[in-house]
Amino acid sequence: MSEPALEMRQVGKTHGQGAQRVDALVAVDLTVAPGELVAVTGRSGSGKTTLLNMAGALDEPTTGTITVDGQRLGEMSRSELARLRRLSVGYVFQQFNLLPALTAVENVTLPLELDGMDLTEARRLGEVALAEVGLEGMADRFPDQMSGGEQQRVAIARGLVGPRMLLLADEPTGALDEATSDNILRIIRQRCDAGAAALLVTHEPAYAAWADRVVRLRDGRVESISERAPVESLVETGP
Amino acid sequence: MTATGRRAALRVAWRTSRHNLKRTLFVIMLIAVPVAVAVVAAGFFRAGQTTPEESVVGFMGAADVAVQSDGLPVTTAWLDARLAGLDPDAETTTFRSVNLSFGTGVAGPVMDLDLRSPLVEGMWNLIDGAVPKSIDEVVLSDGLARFYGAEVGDSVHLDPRDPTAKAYRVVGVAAHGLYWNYPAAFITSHSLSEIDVPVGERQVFTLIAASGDGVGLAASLQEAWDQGRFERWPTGAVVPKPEILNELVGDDYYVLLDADQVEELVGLAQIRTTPDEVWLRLSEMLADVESVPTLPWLAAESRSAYLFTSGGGALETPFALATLVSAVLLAEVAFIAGASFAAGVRRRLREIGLIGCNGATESHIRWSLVGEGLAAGLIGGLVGVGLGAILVVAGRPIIQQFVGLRITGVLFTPADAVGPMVMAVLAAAVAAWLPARTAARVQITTALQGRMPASAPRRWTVPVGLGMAGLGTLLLLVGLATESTLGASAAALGVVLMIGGAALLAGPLIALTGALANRSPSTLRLVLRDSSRHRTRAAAAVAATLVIMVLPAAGLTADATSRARTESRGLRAPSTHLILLGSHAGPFGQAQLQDEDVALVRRQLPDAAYARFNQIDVPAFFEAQLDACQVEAPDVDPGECPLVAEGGASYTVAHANPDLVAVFDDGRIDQGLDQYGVVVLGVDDRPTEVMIDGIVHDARELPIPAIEYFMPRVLVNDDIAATLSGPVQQRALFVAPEPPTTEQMQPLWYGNLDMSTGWEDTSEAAALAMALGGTLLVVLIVVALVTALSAAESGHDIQAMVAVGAPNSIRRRFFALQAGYHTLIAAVLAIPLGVLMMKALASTEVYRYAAPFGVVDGTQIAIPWLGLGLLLAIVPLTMMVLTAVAVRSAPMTPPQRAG
Amino acid sequence: MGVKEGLLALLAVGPSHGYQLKLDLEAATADGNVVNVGQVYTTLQRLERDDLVTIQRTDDEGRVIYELTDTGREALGEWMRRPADLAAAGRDEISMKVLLALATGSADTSEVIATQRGAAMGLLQDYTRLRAEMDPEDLAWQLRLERMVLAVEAELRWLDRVEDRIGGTKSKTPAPGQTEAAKARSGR
Repeated sequence: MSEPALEMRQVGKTHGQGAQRVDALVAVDLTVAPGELVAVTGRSGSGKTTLLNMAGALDEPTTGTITVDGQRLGEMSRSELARLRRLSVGYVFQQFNLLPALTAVENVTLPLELDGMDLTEARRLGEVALAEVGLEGMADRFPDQMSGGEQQRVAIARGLVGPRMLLLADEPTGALDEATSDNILRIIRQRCDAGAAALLVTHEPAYAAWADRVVRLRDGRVESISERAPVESLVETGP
Repeated sequence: MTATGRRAALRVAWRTSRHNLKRTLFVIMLIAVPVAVAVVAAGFFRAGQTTPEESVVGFMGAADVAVQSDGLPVTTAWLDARLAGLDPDAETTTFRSVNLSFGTGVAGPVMDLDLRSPLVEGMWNLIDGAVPKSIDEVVLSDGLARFYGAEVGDSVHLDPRDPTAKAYRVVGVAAHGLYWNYPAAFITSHSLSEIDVPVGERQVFTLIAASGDGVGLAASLQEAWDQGRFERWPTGAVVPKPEILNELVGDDYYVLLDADQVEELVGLAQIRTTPDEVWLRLSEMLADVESVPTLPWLAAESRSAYLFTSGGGALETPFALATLVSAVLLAEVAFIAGASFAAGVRRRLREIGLIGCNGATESHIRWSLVGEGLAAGLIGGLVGVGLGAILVVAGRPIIQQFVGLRITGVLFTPADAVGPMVMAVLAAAVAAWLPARTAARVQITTALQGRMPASAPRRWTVPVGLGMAGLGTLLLLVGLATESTLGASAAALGVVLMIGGAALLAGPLIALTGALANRSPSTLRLVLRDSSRHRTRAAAAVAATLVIMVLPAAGLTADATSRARTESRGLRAPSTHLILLGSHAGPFGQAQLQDEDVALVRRQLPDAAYARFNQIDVPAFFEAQLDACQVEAPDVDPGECPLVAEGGASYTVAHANPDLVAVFDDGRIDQGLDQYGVVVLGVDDRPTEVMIDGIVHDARELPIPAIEYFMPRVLVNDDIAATLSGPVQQRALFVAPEPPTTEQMQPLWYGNLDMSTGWEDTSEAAALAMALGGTLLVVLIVVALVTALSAAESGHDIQAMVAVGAPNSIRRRFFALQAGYHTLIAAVLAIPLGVLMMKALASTEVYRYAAPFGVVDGTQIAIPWLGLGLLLAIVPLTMMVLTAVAVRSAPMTPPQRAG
Repeated sequence: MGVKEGLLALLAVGPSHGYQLKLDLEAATADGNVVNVGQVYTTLQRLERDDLVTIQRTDDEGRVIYELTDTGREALGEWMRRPADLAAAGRDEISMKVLLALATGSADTSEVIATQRGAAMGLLQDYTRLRAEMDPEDLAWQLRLERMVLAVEAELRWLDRVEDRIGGTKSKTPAPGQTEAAKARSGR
């Protein structure tokens, strides 16, 4: 296996002090390799989102180290972290993922443009990323002209545009109906099968089940990890 | 940050502006209006300005030299002869001019100018009809034609007050090169001498096109005239006039002096310390002279000399004016726009988090938000410039009418727009800066939740706010003490700093009052918490109101101060009073009250009560003056007391005859005269003392309004009058039931009368009403804007409250309370600031004098507690009520997700 | 239960022989392990004995062709109309394990739950992967898989519920009153 897209070693996060002290995360180890889809489940307050935010350099761990794309987050300056967010990790949230004032392709190319990429090149990459999520020809639509599922696909395209290889998805299907949710996860799965890495936070087992590995958090600790059995074994169970 | 990164940020800004079109349009209009006002102001200024080149054409047409002189034949003959000698080939045209009143308020010259002469070109241009050919024909200036409503072919009386005057047929209309509304009439060339005009009341103009050097010609003419002027003086005048008296004594007075007097004045001039000494002696010498003779006079001026003295340098003024106007207006706008941006940033916080998630740095985010401000500023500026330019171009006739000058050039140049544009962009960027900075600092995870963290007020705001206000006060003081442009700029900067400092204090004050929220009823608590949480927006709203409320606070203080000073000089002069001194009596003589003067005034003011009385010229000093002098200079005679001398307040005495007492229609005067013999028209009913001609009398003071000058402020009975030995002047006092109208007064002003009148004055209540009314109006606009802004933002909270069972009227109550609360905080900050500013202004007025009813100290201000208290109470209360009336109740729809 | 009614249902479509009936049964229920040929024949004989089916004829290859009788048609109708016995669901192995562990303390309940959850999650992952890879036109397969997915999900939900009920006794115990705040702060 090549260098992991995300590696968390003994990551802990503590809020407050003394009697107010709360351990949001305790000694979490987690690795996401390219091509892997890892789901994090757990009840509300189990630390799922905290974990995700730290993976995306939006939050800093109290203890432990996080490595994204071979870069140790703890050692990076704010502007380097911003650059990391532009080039290495992409976020997808439950809803309202897109800037309403920008078209689909502009939303997708935003991180590239912020990084100073040439407009034509960025647009080319943006169209490629949109095609990969099945949104050919919708590049110039505005978010309010698209369905919730389509908006979410744009967000996925943005999460994995250009050099970005690590998708962090926080309940990406929370606001969608079942069929659309299935479709979104299918697309995330496809992108991972094509080589991307993704960390998916969800409390729905059915959606977590799309992952290669499911990490269950309980009160900030990893409670169980469920590896996917190889598909072949299932197929062989027939007569 | 790379250039492309910044471009991406700006693109987001631009798109967001377009996406939130309503809010963007709001800010754009907010910015456009002051810019338009500034451009129009520059246009007005430009319209009111004339270049030296334009002025010289207006004065002397196409001529090289213009000679103005009296209409005396001797002068004209001298000029003809001299000109023939100096420049025989010169082209000339000569015309006479007489000033005439063409009707009420409209006076101008009648000229016998040859409108066809090339020398007149540019000065007067025939724009319609033909030149007059007979003595019955006239050409009117376009201004006069408009006034008469006359056209070519009509017939007019040039003096409409005289129905027997000759009628003229209008044959043409001429336009002055410079003035749009110049009333003038032209009759046939060289015909003015045939009209019965006293010599000396007409002027003769000779326009000369020199064949050679115009400057030299004008100088030679003037020099020759000045040297030979003694020859034209009346017989008996002492010639030549000694050199030393040239500057001190005018020729027309000088010719009245005999040889001894000249000798005395020369002696005095040699040892004098001030020019006044010579002047005083001269006025004593000429006290009996009834009229001053008219001496022949002539003034020659060349085109170059005129241009030189007119100077230049007015060109940058419209630029500076437009910049200044837009700066002042946009400073106010920046606060409101700032509140708008703060609201917008809050609403779009999640978007900002999203951008941050995608790798935007703090500076990217700042850029995208400030960029939005820049875009709004740029567009608002352009719209404003466009609007202003259209107004200036379309409003040209109105501007022309207003300014009175013929507008020949353009009123709008792109240069005028530069200042306002820069100011607009600057104001918008400044307005966007603080919210942008705040937003960029919000943690991405917090921003993603769409909730602005309720930040504690920064520790530095209070000291910096106080420091700024202090520094501003200091700068204002220093600036006022320094008499230069730099000083004025420093003072202006000081005022800006003071207001800025107070605006900074708005945030902490909101936080402080927000602490009261826990103990408040629910709606008030919601308001306090809301303002506390949205501090940037609330502080901007407060600051915008504050700037406005400083003005009435300062104005009321100034008014109270000026009232207090007037009070110490006696009650205000009632506009119904008129004191008639009599006809003019020569340049130095005392006016003598004649029966026909009294008759004239009575004719004009038939309903006025009047009395003739004797004024006795002896110095009188009042108790307050005596007391003040006693304290300040105990050993000095009150007449010499510096406190009194500086104010120059010494009041003469009137002999109270029954007529005079009757005019006042106040029984207390008779009582006072019986009891003390002396009555003082003052400010209160109380016993007092007056020192008349060195003797202190007990007297009764009565609160009776009085004109300050020539008014009988001290009335004495027959016994005391008999003991006084000053010169006696006859005067008449008229007290009309209503203030005289302009029509009633005009004949008196035109007449040869010396008078003293009171003036219409706004009452304290009226001043307060005006201050309150104006403030309410402008504050209401600001409050309306701010409420509209916060309605968009707080609507969600309110709907949530309604959903949990709050009455629908909570929306109404919320915004009403919010308006009242913001206005109250603004008032609390603005009122001390306004008073402080007036105090700072006054502190440079270092003068002190003893007025009749109190000591006036220039550095002291009077604080109008009642007015300020009303301002503090009424403005917030009114805002509350008006907002409650204007705001709708909350609709019964379930709350929807914000964003 | 199952094979008898299955055969009756298939024969209601038309007469058929034993092996064909086995194949049809597998296709209809999307299950390869439902039944073996022998069981089909035994069941058919029992049905003939009870007069629910009758032998129509023997075909050219010597296979016996069965046909539904009117009694059989009636029996099938009655079965279809009768609701399935839902009450039996509570007596499966997982619930017995967890409940017994809880009641007797013979094992760490949390561990049992975690193990069961891991297994269930693994199964769910497998089903999901299968679902992703199979022919979307195959409705029977789709529906059967979804039935299985839902069953596992229900099991996972039940495990969550058990965990909630037995509380955090086996993990950390935040001070009273802090729990909600702590959760609100630490998670989403």
